Amino acid sequence: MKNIRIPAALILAAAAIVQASAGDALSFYGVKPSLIFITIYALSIRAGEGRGLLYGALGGIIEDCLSGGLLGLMLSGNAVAGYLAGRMGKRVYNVGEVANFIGIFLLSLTQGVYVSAAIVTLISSGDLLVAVVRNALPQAFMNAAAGTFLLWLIDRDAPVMRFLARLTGRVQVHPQV
Amino acid sequence: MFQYISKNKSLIIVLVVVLASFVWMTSQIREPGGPTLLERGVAGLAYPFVVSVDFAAGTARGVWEGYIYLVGLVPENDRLSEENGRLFRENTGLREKLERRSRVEELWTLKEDTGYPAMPARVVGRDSTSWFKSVWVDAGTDDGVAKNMPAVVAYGLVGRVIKPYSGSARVMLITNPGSSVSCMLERSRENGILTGDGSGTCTLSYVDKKSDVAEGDLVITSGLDMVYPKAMPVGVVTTVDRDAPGYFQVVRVKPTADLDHIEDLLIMKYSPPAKEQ
Repeated sequence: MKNIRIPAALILAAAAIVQASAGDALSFYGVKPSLIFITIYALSIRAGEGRGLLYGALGGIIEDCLSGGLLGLMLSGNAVAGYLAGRMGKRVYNVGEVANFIGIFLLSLTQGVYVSAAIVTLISSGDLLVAVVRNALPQAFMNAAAGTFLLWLIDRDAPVMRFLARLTGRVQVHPQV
Repeated sequence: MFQYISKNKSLIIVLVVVLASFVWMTSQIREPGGPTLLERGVAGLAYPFVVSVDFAAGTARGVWEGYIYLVGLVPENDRLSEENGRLFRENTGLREKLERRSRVEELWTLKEDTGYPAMPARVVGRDSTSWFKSVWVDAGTDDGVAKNMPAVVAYGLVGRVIKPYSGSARVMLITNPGSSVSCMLERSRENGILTGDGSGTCTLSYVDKKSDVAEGDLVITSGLDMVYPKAMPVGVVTTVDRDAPGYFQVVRVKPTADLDHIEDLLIMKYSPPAKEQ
């Protein structure tokens, strides 16, 4: 079994804190991207399924504690998502923007269907299909859009990072042959 | 067998995690209690950071909005520019104070109107997921906050305290899928149970198909659940579906309080009237 890397755990905790305090600033028509989910995806896709499972479980339990919901719900939902992201990372050769968008969307939708099913089964007696259409689907779109943009932004080859690299002079961009 | 297990170790662990989580969640539903040691620990660790980030975000927003507002007005003169900046910072601070004061005054009027002892609380954090609608406030058990105390704003009911910590508390909003409030329609006095759907609106359940419900009707608390005081405004009926399958109408309700933008609220020390012997 893999171990959790401390920096990854700190990044997850930071994402949870930003989500809890300033997450509403990113809200669009009442749907806000899940920074914790995006972080779990970003960490897991490179770390493999073992660590992905752990990152998902850790992010999930923090999310559970800060959401006031049932303990274990986001833990299991995110653990499944982290595991699947880890598996996906092993099989997708080139993880670019398109792969990130599709990956985050599908994983977020899977997690959303799982969480909706658990809520409908355990807490409220609503309609699963309605819960998925109203909550899980918009959430998956929002996570995919925000996640793809954020991952593109922090990509080493992205224009922003290349500009910063040029500015700081730390990395030589396009070395002359 | 052992080969299969070692080959699919991660998958088996995922299944175990899911099963164990379901057992854990079921046990919480069967025996609901206060916040666990784990929740207290995480909340205690996160609270100072959440408050700091909330403060920093508010300040940054104020300065940024002010910059956009002032950028075309700042004269070229350095002295005036400096003076303007200083006045602007003062102005932003004072406006923020004034706005907060008017919100507190609204809450104070509400407190006097309801007649119950109550304490104001500021929202410092929100639900970290989009699934459970809740807010984190800066008043806790040290201030007299206890589980199930109703939270209100001037425009209506917000929810109730579900997890009181020492210096803060988690308030479950009425739009949370786990929330249920005994309500009635102000006009026709028809009763129902208001439940959240997790997407910002609510459903008034168990309203008979023959009941008199119309769009625009005000929904108020009935007080029958012994958690919320009677006659608090809760929401307005937005749609009524009498053709829905089953015995009851499907009544959608929009909360009267703007639950997405609450900054201050009032936690009421409400005790239901004693049952007559």
